[in-house]
Amino acid sequence: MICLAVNAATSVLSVALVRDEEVLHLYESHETRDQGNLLIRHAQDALDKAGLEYQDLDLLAAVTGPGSFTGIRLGIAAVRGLGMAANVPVTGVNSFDLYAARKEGALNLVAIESWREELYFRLIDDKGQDVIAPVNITPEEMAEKVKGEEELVVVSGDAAEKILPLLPNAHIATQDIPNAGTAARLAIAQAEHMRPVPFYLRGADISKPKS
Amino acid sequence: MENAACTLNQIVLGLESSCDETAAAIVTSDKKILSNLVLSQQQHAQTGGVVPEVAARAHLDHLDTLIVKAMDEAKVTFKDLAAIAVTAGPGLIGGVMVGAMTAKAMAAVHNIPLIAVNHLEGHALTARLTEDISFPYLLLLVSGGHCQLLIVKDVGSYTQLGSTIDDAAGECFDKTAKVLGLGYPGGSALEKTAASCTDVTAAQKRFALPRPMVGKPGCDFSFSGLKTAAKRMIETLKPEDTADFCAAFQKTVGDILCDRTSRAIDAYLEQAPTSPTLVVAGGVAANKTLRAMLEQCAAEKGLAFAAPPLKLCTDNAAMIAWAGVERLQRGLTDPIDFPVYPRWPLDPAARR
Repeated sequence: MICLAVNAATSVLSVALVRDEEVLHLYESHETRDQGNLLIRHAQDALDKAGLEYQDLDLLAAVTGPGSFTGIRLGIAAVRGLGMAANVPVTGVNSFDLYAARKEGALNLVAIESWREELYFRLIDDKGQDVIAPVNITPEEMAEKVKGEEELVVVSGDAAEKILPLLPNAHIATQDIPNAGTAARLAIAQAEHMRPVPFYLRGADISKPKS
Repeated sequence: MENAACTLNQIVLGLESSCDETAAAIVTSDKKILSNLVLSQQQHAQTGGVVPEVAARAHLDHLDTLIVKAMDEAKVTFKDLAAIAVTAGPGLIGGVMVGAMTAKAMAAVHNIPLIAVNHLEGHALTARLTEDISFPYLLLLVSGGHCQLLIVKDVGSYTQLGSTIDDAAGECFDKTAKVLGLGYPGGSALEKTAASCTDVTAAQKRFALPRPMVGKPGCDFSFSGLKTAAKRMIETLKPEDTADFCAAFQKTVGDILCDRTSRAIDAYLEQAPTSPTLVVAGGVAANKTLRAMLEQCAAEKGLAFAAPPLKLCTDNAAMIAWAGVERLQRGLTDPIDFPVYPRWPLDPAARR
């Protein structure tokens, strides 16, 4: 199965073309500013280098968040637009699954960057079940919740280092940093492919405008 | 033998997502609107104004299915499209990005030419979709976000004669309607309420509202003083006077628009246009009273008058598709990585 995946939601923008387990092409950039304009160009590059057309794809995937609101939308809009035009199935992979680092007997705390004081967290057991469902709280609040179990905790995610100092006895995940290639592999492994929907995990901050 | 390129009817898909309307439309180069779907976001009524993040979320939720509907209704497939035109600014950038990305993705798959349309150019050229109007014409663009007078010399070529120095006319309308408790956006509700006033002249005497800039040189507008004065007057307004107040307010806005427009007409006529025409576009042009006042103003100076049908005055994607047709015919297409712009004046030399 050939999958093109994009991740514009978390702190590193990436585009990957994957055939089953093999990454055919990977683009990554730490510069996210204005990258939205270039996303489709990178997707096209990936296909050109592999000598493929969009219609040759079996699946398109976007990272659906949580993360940057704008990035979430760019990735999903890109994938939906490509899927619609090429008549290729589309799906989403959320940021927690992307950054998950499951380990036998351990609790995995996934910390995702929000560019705010609060971060996006999720605590998962070694069976993949939620111990703490996705929340948007400060690192201090999160550290309080895992107090006493610190030694069991493996921290992963693009905001891992923002909570690690508060959990001196916790471990850091040793896996490779996930990218769109990881997203593509997770997407291929999904039992069912559903139209990707944004996972913002935070409201739109509606404050009453001045009249 | 006829030139095939000239007789070929081109089909363009247009997308609009720069404010609180999600829209998709199919328009042909022979001026047929094959579909024109507009989804007005209702989420903003509670906040009394458009919250950019709320708008951006709603655009993403609906744009793809709206495109499918617009193409189905027009009975076209991607293979039939000569171009995809999309609003690339100015506007709320979160929404603009959703539209631009969707357009780029679809265009990439079928190698369809892409056109990054200035939302204001969409409004400016709409009259050429619905009527045969030749350049140069004078344009009064009045909406919730814009209020400007421009000479439209050609596609992509504008001279701005005047613009608002503070609020847009539509904003002044909507905010006043909101203070009156007519809901949001309440411009059309205000017009409806004003309709039951029996003597507008008397109403305007009773509710003497300021008319900023009227009689002053130049063609600039100002509406913030009127907005503030109206708000203050409403504080002591008796419920039974609401209709009279609305009529006075509406007439005052009309007076301001006509004064400024008539000065712009003089400047425009100096360019000796072959068929002098005033075109009024934008959401405020949907107001029938203002439309009639402006038509009168044009007639007094010997200008023909044109305003797009009401449905094409407010934000829509048919105007974006049509601007796409006009640009495509001039070979003006854009690369797949075109940028989006929160601000994008039609006349780059304009100060505001």
